[in-house]
Amino acid sequence: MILLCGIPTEGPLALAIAALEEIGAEFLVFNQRKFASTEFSFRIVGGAVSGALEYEGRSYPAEAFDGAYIRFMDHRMLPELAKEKPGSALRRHADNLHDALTRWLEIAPLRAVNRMSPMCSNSSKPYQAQLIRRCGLGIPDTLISSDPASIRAFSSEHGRVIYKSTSGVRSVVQTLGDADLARLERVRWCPTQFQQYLPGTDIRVHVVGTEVFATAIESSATDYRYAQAQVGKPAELKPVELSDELSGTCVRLAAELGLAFAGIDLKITPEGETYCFEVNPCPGYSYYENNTGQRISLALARYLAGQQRNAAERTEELVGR
Amino acid sequence: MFLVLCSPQDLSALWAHEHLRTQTGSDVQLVTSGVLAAALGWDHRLSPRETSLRIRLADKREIDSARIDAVLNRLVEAPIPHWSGSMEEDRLYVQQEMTAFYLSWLHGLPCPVFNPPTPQGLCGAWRQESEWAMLAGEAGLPTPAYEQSTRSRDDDPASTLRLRARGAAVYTAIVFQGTVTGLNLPRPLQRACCALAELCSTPLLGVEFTASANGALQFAGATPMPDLRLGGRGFLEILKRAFARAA
Repeated sequence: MILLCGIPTEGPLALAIAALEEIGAEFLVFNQRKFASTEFSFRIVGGAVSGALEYEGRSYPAEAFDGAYIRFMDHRMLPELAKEKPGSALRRHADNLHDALTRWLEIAPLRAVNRMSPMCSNSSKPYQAQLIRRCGLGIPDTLISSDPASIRAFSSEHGRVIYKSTSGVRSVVQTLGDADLARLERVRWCPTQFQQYLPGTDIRVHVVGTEVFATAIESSATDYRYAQAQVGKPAELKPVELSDELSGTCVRLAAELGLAFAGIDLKITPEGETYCFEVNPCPGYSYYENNTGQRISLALARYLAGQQRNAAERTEELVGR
Repeated sequence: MFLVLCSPQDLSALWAHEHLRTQTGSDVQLVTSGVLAAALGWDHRLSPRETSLRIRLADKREIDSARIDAVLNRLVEAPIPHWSGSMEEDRLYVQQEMTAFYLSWLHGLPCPVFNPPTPQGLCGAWRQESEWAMLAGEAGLPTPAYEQSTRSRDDDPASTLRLRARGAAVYTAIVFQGTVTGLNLPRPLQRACCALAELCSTPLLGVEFTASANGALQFAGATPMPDLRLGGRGFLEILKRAFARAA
């Protein structure tokens, strides 16, 4: 059985539920908003994990779950807790339940999409970039600096430079301009990440186990996610095919990062060179699926249901061609 | 050049630095988190082929990644004392940015780093007790049952310890480079401690035990940031050899 955790109406989770129904897989949706009446316990003895989830009047052995799609929202923000005082019995129960479920999902022998630990590589973009480079993908020339002189030299070297957050905190990618150069002394307070600007086509690659979905994004904005605000026109999305070699590299990259499901951001330059910006470990794929019709959710359902081939074999097949 | 990175309050790292400085005859630089926080300039470059780091410290020292041979890394967090007076929202953002930055430059150092940084901790991964219980079982350490339930109604479930009784005496073994110091353990337990360090990719690991009712030691937890002094001179000798090999 497959366990889905989160808010059932949230886009990615809703699509996954529909896809699991489509393939006839057995699944249970744990709606986080029903936490108050839910109990969970687990134990580890000699490396074996067992437990029980009590949900909506039924008890499910933890061992019955062989797949899990985890889309928890921050439970402290649930509407059911809005009027609860800090430390109330209901808040404590929500804390206990989410702590126990999260810990169990981290170690349970099931196909987890995705576990917490591997998702953390995205907490540092330059750290993750070093892992990406090790997999054979190009990365943009990058400088993280608190020295205005070094940044000016880097900017002169590349002509056009962008800047963005170093951590996983979402930031709007901006081009370094004259106004920024005028206030560059401020970086002395906190080293900031600058990158060479790369022209070309943005490609979002969703890897689900061994299946690959590539989507080209047409936009003249520096950050296509904010195309409407930056250039007054939303980005256009369309499905594209990657070479077998590049597909294989993407599958291997996701596997090396320990991610069953990943959103990989590539740029293909006019010269045909491929660069990777980052790997999103918790992709909100519904935006891409709804705009292109690519059945990412179906691949996700197949992966969760154990209907995909072994990732290493598939990677070898793709790369070996 | 060897580096010891630590907080100025980390007495065991200061103890290890003093030994390395006086016993190896090498250039062993102590760089505390306070000194890093006051650095005059940072340049961390990731080109398509290589990674580099240059730090200009306020005391006129310059750290260049190409000149470092080995690092004893005891940094628990990226220091941001100069942001202490700012708004909480800004401070939290800067803390995340600086942690991400430290993770990257520490990872990019082209020399042995004990311990290498991970996204779960700058001096090695901090794991939940449930993860340690799984790994310890896999490594062959005698491990008590780990149980967690919403019915226990814990006040602070994230920090509740479940592998040890409250107030129980804890005995710590220091594992480094396949050798156990600090506790005189039987061979099978030593092997299991080393297997645990391997499994969790943490070359310098403190493995904690409590005594069961019959007096036998059982696993109670592990840490990437043990008190090195527990390892005594035996640990220092192994550390010295590891640094000498890296030079």
